[in-house]
Amino acid sequence: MIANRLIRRVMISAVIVLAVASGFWFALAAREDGERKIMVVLKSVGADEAPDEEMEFWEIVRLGLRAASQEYGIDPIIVGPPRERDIEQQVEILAAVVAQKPAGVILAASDYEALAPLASEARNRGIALVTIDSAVAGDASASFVATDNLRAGEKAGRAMAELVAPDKPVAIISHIHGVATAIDRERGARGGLTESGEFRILGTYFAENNPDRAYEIAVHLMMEHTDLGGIVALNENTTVGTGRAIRDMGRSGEVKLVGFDHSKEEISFLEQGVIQALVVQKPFNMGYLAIQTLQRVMAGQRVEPFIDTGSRLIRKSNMYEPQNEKLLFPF
Amino acid sequence: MKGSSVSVVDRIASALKLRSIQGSITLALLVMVVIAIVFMGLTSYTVARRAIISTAHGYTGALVSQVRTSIDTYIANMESIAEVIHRDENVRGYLRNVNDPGSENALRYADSAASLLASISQTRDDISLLMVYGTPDRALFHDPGMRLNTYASLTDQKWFRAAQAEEGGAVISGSHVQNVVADRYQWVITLSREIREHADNELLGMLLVDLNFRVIEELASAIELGERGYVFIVGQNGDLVYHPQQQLIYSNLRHERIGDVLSHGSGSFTAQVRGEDRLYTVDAESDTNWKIVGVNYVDELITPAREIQVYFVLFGILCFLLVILLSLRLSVRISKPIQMLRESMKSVERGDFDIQVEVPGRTEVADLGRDFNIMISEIKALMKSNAEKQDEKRRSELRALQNQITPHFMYNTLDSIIWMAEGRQYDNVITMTSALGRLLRLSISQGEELVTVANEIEHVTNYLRIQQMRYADRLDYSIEVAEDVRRLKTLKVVLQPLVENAIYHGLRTRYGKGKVVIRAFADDDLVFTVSDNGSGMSEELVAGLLSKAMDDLPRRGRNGSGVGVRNVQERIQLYFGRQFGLAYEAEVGSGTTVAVRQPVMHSDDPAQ
Repeated sequence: MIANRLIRRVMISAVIVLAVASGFWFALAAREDGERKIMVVLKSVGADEAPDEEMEFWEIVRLGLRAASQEYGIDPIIVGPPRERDIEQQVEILAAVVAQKPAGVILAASDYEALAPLASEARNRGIALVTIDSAVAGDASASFVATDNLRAGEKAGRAMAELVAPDKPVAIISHIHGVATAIDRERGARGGLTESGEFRILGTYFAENNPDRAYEIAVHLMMEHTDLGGIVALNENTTVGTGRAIRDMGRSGEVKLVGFDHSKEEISFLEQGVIQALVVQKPFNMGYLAIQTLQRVMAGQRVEPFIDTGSRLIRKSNMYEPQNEKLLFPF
Repeated sequence: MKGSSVSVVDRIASALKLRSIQGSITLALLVMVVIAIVFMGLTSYTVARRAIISTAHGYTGALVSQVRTSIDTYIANMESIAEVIHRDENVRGYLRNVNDPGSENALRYADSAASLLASISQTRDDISLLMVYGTPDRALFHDPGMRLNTYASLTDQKWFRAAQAEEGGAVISGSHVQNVVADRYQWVITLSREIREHADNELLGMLLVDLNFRVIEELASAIELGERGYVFIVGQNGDLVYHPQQQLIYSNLRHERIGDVLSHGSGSFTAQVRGEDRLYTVDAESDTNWKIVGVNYVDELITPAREIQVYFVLFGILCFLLVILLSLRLSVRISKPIQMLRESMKSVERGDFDIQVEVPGRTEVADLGRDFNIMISEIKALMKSNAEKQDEKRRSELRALQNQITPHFMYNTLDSIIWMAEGRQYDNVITMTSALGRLLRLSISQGEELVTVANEIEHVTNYLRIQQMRYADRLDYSIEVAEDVRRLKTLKVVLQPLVENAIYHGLRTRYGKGKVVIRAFADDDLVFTVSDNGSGMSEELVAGLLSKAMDDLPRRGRNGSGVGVRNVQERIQLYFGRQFGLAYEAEVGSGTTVAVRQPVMHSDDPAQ
């Protein structure tokens, strides 16, 4: 009888102790497993058979993502179509990602409209969403982390204004009509040009994101306007095409060129003096800030609806300064 | 053994009442446990933290110096390669003839020098570029396919100027993009050195050995310092040779304690960056004058110490529970015996003295229980002896009462005998005297208080005979005894006083013949009735007859017969209780009947 009662008491104590202890361990384990899933959908993760020039940009974004992930102790899963133009494939990928219901998604939309419905579905499911580089329609994204293209354009315009005598005309070659980045850069460039006085801007010409088309436009412009002071080209392809035209026409240094991005050819043109200045984005920062912003969103903190990852104007004279070297030559 | 869980809850609840014994015990234990746990937890945390940080410093220091040694090895290799190229006569020959490149000599030197560069680079993967440069703008590379980048003005390059300043000494430049080869941009560490004539120190040209920077990058990034820790390399002037987050630092998204690192020699320091403690371990021993820095996140390092805290909290909770259980157990051990003792005392209050408290164990309360048992048994013995004394007293009283009868009757009978002797009725004297003798024998010979009904009847018969003789024709009597009561027991000398009273009260005052009828029968009780046909009695007289007031006894001189009746009444009631005794039925003028009730007792029954 007494022995029985003793056993029972010991058992009750043991059960209580076990329950409390296991509660503790569960709490600990939950904290360890509480690392919430984060997925990144990029415009392009590259294809083996066709290494894309534009891939470099996303490689650097991923470096930034990795740096931030290490700092926050997370392990995001990065997915995306092989090439930037595979819009439908990106839609499918995003649909699969949203179906998995991760805690947070970082999205670089390859199309402003096509990905919007999925973005709002993600938001409705309580997934924290941050867009980078290119936005989507609607207000599903908590924050848009990207280069401020207006300001980048301004830098280009201002640089051109410094390079060219005010009486000479200037042209703008844009990569595509009606795309937000192109519109913003053009507006910025015009603003930067006319900031310190009236510039004669011949107009904005669209090159359909094709270097050959840009080449043709540039040759035509130089032939038509012999006093042409300079050209502002708004992305890599237009800059390369325009650069080739100026070199081939033997007008290096006479017709000033301010371009965007930093392909090897552009860097070479910059060294040769074909290009006077390049506006360079900061994709590493974009990746880093995307994770940082998403973490803040998931932690319930307020974030700015737009976060500028910055851009930098690089000339031949400062291209090998440490700050610029890393931007121009990420690897 | 009912609902243990409920009782546990109750016990916890009662244990938490601070006024109770176990409440105090619990509180004291808990306070002790909390103080001990907090003290031990904090101490062990502090000690563990200190130990962990010093271990981390040692560990990180070892890793960082390993990076430094490897870098120094690479640099030493570069220097020895530079030395080989620097001494090579073909290289010097090429440079001496650089202004006459078409000459046979120049071509021969150029060929030999180029093949030297090519063979050196073949043996070393880490070397990304070997170049011998002569002004103006002539260069030999390890790869004959390479051309000089004519847009990059070499003489303006940092590494070129640094080598010029050294005048023949080798200079190591920090990480940068090498652009001397057309369409080739590579991150490298550059060793540059002027080549001068041995004789007159005349400048011949410049040699360049580039180490692929990726080698350094891999070396530094391979070092794992926890989840988030990292290694970075700072040049002499505070420029970053390598930092995993160089771009963030340039964009001011991140801050690095470069100033602190520069002002420190080898060793470690902790600094706060964005609210987090970081442990910087610096190695400044490198031949390159670079500082290699390992950064640990203190938070991460002390996770084990944090775990120790968690264990202590766990342990503390365990102790809490243990204390509560222990105090419950204690309370049961203390309060349960007390409870048992109290229960026993209550039943003693109710009059149960047969109880024995069983308090197990050797505690003070168990001793108390044993003392209680001794006390109870002593009280019980006392009460028993008291009852015995009371009984004894009652018996002696009874005997005294019984003894009252004999002298009184003797007096009357002897009076009659004297009276008959005076009247010379000698036969009668003989009869009466022998009847008296039998009477005495019946009442004396048995010392018992109880006799059979038969004996009692015989006794009263002898008595009646004596009285008949005294009253001659004036007294008649009859005795009717039911056969089944003859063997029953009765208190002795019950009938004689009643008959005596009937004769004196009923018959003596009557003119004519008096008759006494005695009956014995049993209903629920044994009943004797004594009836006379005398003048009867008033109610006052009956009441007076049965009045228990012993103070009336001295009145017997005047009214002697009342003494006997009262005596019978008192004896029966002393012996059997108040519900038994006498009942008179009397009316003035029509006789008296007295009934005596006693309990039915068979002769084999024990008295009482």
